[in-house]
Amino acid sequence: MRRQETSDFERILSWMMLAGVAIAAAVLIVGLVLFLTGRPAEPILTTGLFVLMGTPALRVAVAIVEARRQRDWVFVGATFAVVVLLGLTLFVALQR
Amino acid sequence: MLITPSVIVLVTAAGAVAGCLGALLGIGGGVFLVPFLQFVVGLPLNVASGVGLMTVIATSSVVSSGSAGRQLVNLRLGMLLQVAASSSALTAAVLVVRLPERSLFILFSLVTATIAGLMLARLERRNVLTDPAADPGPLGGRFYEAESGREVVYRVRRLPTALGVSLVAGFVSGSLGIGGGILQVPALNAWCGVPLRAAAATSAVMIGVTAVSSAPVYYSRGDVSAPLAAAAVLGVLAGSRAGFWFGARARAKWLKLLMAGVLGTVSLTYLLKAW
Repeated sequence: MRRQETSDFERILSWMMLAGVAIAAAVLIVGLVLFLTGRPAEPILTTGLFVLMGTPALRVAVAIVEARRQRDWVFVGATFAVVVLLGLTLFVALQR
Repeated sequence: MLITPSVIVLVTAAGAVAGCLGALLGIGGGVFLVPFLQFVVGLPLNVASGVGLMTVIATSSVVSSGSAGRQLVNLRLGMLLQVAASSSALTAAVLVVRLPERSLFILFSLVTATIAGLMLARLERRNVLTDPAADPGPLGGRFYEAESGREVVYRVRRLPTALGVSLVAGFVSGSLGIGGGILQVPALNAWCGVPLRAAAATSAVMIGVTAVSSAPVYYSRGDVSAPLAAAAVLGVLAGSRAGFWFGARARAKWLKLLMAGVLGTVSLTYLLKAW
């Protein structure tokens, strides 16, 4: 059954999410300390926030691989649509 | 506005309190943080929302990594609903600067009143099939429930309703910067047959993706102040840790009552501001 595989997949995903948040938090702490001591901090803070925003996006990207592996086409279609929407968000953001 | 060290400390502390309450009540801290940033710190609503979105992403990633390996997250249902939530979140992010501030205040007032009401009348109903061999259907799922020591199976009913609620939740998230989970979880549970835990775990994943569907637009518009967002995110991360710790030790019924009162006040404040 694919239940066990899904469970392993979930475990890897959740580990990735936690790692993403931990890295983002570490970078943000460094950035905030720089900011508070009056040094240039914007690039570091921005990096931290981008890592943070990338975490859920990465999860979606991995989900599409998993959906394909399961040959579950409704799942593939939905996940693909979400990826397209995230791409559209990025496109709209870069237009400004 | 000028960001002084004392503002950073204030925002970090506010994030910690909001994160702690959010974790205790299971509703995410944005609904407390955004009004605080607006009314106490004095940020414009769009900037407060931008900061709120960043904290929603952090909360989502932390909470959804905590549900590891328990098969609670129904990613298949989640991704289907995500299509609706992400579309409306992006639409809201683009639209929000064109909407009169007044309409956002009214929306905020409505949302907080709804949450307060839901908190007072928490719908707790079992939506499970007791036969483990039952067919969960194309979108349902199954997970192991520790209390009963059994595998629980559920089917998803009323998919159009779930999609509609996700549309609303996405719009609320994209325009107000709070996670839409508090609207989605009770709806999925009460109307669509998803057990509370599976609904909460699935929603925890969704709110992060929903926030990422609008956050870059806020960012490029300059509505995400990096130092304030960093302060709020770190505060929320620390606060939600504390909230889970407390939550495992105390059943906070009075807290729910108190917070329903706070949210009612927030709702009234926004209503009065819109007047």
